[in-house]
Amino acid sequence: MSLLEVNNLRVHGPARELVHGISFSVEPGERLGLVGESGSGKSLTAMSTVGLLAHGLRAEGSVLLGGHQVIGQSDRALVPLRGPVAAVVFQDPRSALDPLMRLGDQLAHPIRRRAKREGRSMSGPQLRAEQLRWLDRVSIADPERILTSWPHEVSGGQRQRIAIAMALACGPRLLIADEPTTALDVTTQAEVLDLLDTLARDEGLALLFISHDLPVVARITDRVIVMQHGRAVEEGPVRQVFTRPRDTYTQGLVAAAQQLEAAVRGMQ
Amino acid sequence: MSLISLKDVQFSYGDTPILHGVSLALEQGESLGILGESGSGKSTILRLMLGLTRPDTGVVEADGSVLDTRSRARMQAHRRFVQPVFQDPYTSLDPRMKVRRILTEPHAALDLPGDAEAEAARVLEAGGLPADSLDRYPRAFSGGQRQRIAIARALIARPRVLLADEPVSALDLATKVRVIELLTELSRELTLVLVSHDIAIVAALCPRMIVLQQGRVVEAGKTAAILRAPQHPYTQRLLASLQHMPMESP
Repeated sequence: MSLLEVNNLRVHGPARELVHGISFSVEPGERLGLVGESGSGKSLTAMSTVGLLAHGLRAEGSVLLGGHQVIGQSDRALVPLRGPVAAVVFQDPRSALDPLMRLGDQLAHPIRRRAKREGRSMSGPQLRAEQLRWLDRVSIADPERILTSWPHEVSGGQRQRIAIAMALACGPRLLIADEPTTALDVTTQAEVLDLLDTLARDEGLALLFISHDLPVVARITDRVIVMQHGRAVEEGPVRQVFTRPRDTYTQGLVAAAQQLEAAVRGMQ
Repeated sequence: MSLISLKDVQFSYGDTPILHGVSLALEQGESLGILGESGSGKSTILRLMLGLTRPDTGVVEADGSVLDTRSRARMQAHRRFVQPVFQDPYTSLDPRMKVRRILTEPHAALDLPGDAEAEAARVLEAGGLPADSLDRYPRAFSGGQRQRIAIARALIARPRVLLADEPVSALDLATKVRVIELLTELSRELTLVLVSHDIAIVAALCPRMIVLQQGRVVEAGKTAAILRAPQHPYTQRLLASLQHMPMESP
């Protein structure tokens, strides 16, 4: 059974339809990229799979996440799926973290929830050990200090690492990452991509990776869906799609990305 | 003689040092890329070049003499000499003004010669926008078109130098490439200073570049030479961090 199975998903805005019937599936351990420019519907599609659409937006069709229907369910019904089946990392780590809560306390939430779910008790020293273990997993230097820090006291790269640690501490089988490195500097971006790559491999995670950045998608995913105006225009292995695109729109995107790449390569 | 130069410039915001003795020179016809990550001080350098702020020590020279930001006459002349284009095309245009007013206002404000309407038509064409854009509001345009309007507005003064702060970072890929082509075209007539975190944009537009790290110039020279053989460990790390498109397998 697929971990995620999306069938004829439509997303309606207040005035018009924004995603026009998209279907795809993600198998356990698979890495799928959703690529497209702004307004292509890639984030709406991804957020629909975990029932996280903004108010005023409505999804229709079928989304089976870990075998459970997501469309039309109440938030309460989705709680058991969010975390154990799928967790999300957002673009802006600043808005994903509570500015009024120390980082250690924020990280403690998913750790405690998972322990409770699995019927384990969690003492103070055990919790602390788990917090430090997760910070170590996401390669945070100086974890003791980070635990008592506030979100504004650490860098954007560190915030995103902590957001990733919080998502993974839920123990998900699918990680949905919505432009997770777009707000980061080039060097930090490379580090976070390496980290996601390693973590996904070690944990056997499936990835649904949303980005407008073709080289980044090529770095992290195996298969890609190209979206334009709320439709999937091309789908296939990432290497094939990015070297021999069939669709005209994809051809334009790939040509533009290669033009930028050529500017650097041409000088090297 | 350099168009604009910074000589041993130190700058701090309160107790936070931003620039530690930065020197650089912009030569006529040799567009300069300033590459740096967030917090490197690159936007501060732009503000100094625009005369929006003064160095704590060191000098900024423009058009052959020290830029005295306290002199109204000098700043009026400086605004004709150098014009900025900012990153976000959604906040850099006044939503209440039609494009006509956006493009004619600088003409009056900077006391420029010639007919304002004719000049607006000239820069509209130079920016690659249709003539009927004049009677529309910014909201009628896409991000890429808005950035073209911002570029057109900067061209009204016929500046010698165009300072562009991440001018294509907010744009979609295909739009980005087209605006880069426009800037390439314009850089034949005027000298560009491009501030960016994106090596590809600098490589596409600037024959010379400096690499800025935490308020210090760690590398400077011809872009091709730096990209081919980066000397400073930080530049090497930046280049190694680039993500690449897959190549066609043979």
